[in-house]
Amino acid sequence: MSRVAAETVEQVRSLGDRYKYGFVTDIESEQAPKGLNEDIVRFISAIKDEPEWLLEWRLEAFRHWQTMTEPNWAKLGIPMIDYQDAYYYSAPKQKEGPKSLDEVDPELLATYDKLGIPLREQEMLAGVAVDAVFDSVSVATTFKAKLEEHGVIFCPISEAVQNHPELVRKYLGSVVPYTDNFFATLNSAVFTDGSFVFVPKGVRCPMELSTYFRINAANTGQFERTLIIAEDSSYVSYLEGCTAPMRDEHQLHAAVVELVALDDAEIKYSTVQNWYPGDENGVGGIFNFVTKRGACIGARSKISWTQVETGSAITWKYPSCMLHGADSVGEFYSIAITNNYQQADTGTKMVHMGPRSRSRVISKGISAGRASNAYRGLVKMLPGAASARNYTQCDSLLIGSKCGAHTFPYIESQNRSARVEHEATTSKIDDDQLFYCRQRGIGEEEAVSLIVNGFCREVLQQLPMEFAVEAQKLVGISLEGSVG
Amino acid sequence: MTPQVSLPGVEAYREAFESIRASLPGERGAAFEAFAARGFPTNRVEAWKYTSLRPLARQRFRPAAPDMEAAVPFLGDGPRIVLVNGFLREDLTTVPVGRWGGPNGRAGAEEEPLVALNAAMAGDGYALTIGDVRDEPIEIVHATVPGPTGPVAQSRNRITVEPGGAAHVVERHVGLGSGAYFVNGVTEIEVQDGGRLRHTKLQEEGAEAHHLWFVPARLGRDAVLESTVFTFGARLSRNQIEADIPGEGAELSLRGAYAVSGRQLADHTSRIEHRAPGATSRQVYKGAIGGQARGVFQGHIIVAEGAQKTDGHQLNRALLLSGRAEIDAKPVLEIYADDVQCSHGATAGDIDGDALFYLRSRGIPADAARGLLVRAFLSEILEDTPEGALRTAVEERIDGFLEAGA
Repeated sequence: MSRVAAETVEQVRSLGDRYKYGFVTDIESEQAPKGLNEDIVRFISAIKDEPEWLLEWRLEAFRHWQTMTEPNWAKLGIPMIDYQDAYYYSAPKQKEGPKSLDEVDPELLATYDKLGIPLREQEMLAGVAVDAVFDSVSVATTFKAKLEEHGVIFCPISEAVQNHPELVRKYLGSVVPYTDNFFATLNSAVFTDGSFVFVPKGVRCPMELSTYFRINAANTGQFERTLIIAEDSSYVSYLEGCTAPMRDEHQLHAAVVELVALDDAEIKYSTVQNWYPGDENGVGGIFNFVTKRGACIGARSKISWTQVETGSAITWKYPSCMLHGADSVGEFYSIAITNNYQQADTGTKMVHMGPRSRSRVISKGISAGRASNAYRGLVKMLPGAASARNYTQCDSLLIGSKCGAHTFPYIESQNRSARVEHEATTSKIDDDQLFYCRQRGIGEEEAVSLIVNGFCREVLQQLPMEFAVEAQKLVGISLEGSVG
Repeated sequence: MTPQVSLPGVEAYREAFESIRASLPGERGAAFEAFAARGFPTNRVEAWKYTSLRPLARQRFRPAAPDMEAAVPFLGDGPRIVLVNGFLREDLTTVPVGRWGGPNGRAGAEEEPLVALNAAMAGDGYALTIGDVRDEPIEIVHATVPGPTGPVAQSRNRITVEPGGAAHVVERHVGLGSGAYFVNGVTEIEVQDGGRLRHTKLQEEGAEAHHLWFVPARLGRDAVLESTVFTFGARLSRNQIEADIPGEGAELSLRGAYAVSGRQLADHTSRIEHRAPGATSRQVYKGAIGGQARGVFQGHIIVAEGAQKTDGHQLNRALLLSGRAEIDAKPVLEIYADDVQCSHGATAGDIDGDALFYLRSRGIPADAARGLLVRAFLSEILEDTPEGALRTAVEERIDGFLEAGA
């Protein structure tokens, strides 16, 4: 494999120039002063014209955050983050809110074109409603009318605070309380935007909902807050995709996603995360500290997380399911790819409380270069989880002798009738498979891409069509130059 | 950073330590300070997440004194080594052994507070060296006499298998009478190049005992270590093996079976560090948990950079036999080399309903059917134990566990 290793080094080197989303849009930003204190929290709340209770909630979170310390249990080397040396609010400068896409800043639209999601094209061809988050403020929302027809609310969370305060107040923080963890608490204090989805009783959301997150202005941490509520017997599929421009300075991202599924409701949440991972020497890249949690409150409710994580310098993310409801179902399908100096510590928590609740965890970690990739998961069967069932499979693939792949599962069962099964494997790409492909004239790189795509198949299959194609390409691109 | 338990526990031990310090061989101050700096770990310490020693820190224990009178039961008539209250009983020992002469810097005392406590306060221990092939199993009995003062027995022992040496060692832990006591022991194992050791541990401590035993093992080139632990006794027990494999082509097998009920807690913790290429490790732990008992399994396989062709597998299975039984498992893989085959598996749940139905449908009463299935489940660990006193002792323990209606 040494010949290949030499090739690899070459290709990894060139890959640094190839990050195709590495550009900066020059739009004047409206910014709050650097730093974090109660005034900044009040400023954010005031600029959003928020009700008193929300400001109070933010302030309580901020005060609590000041008593907390950063978690250090993950298998990550996190450089010191100076939370006072960042901007907590920035908005693209616009005189008035756009009435239609025609009024949107053309430079902004051009940015989306480069990212490959022309809004209008998507509106017409893909049938996807896009609530694009650009530097913390949603600038365009499409397909609103069609969704309104069905009674589905899909809007920026700041808009929901104005128009549906009773819903926001009822559910905000109900799954991830503001005291939850360091990053979630920080988010609670300073979140600037994010999406709000409400699907009423019995409604099957007529289209896939999609949001595009993007970090743009230098030194702006993004603190999105997403809240999705699916009422009885409703269904919604939500897609989240991420790219960010190239930066030398580390950028902080601490998002919170809360899902609530009532009786017989189903939420499918898919993510493709492809933020800037830093260059081949580990300089720059996004710090991604995300708290994602869904509560299956209702009987027979279902929450399914699917994620393809290929970007970010550091990923700290554990999409979880709290299975309160009887016969509720939680799923977690994940692909995490780390290359060069990327670090990922990701996994899930499945907490079974309801009888006959079921969960399934499929995690595929691929580590190349000098990267570190860890799966960390908890499966907990509480005394009430009679006849509950869990199946977990974590597979890790190592490409190269300098990378690491780790598995940290926690399995706790307090119910005899609950069944927990856990399997994990770690290996490298099978030489026989590689040989078989090579023998049939398939190039080394292509063969690896093929085998890895096969390795990830179970997860890729879970993605909605719109994402599946992109994700498959991403798997190939992320591993280009990492064979060895 | 490490959170500490209330210092009173530590201070009580400091008092006890000072009282016996003069009588101990070697310099102990540094080891005691290593313990005092950390105290008894609670579940806030990751390695003790599921087994908190807070209750131990609150109890007053006194260093156990040598007891040269107590009668000790044996499994067989073969060669044996006997320790009572952590002190060698030369009158009962029939194998030529050396004795531990004070701390020698091994066993990672800095990391583990209880090992540091042992290094500070252990007064005795055997040192067994095997240079040839021993056919007869060597029985080692660690007996402790309970008492009103809650004696702490701490011994530090060492088994060295030299190149060409091979032996089967059976370490058995028993309480002589009822009452509380605390055993905090260490058995260092070194299997040098090409040596072979079979190490079986039978833990039958008293019902009110606390048993913590640490086994640092080191395997040389092509060395073989097969270690099997059977855990039945003690209110709280932890058997912790840390195997360091610097030798190429070494083979390590760790197996464990436990049956606990009442309010027992049985913790099996292992850490295997593959530092050389081509070594193999196999782990299988199986437990039957009844009453309000808890089983804990923490397995950690590390494959260091350069330890290519490592083959490491780990399996942990637990049967929960009552509504209030609990199992906590944490099987960790930490891998820094790519050309490896590593895996772990874990299962937890009740007896398989289909298997039970099969037996019931053939007229076997429910209790008998469950007993049969529990025996079958645990017997995998016992299968390579030859017929004889050891096997009988284990089987009787399993029978006793089932009869008590776990």
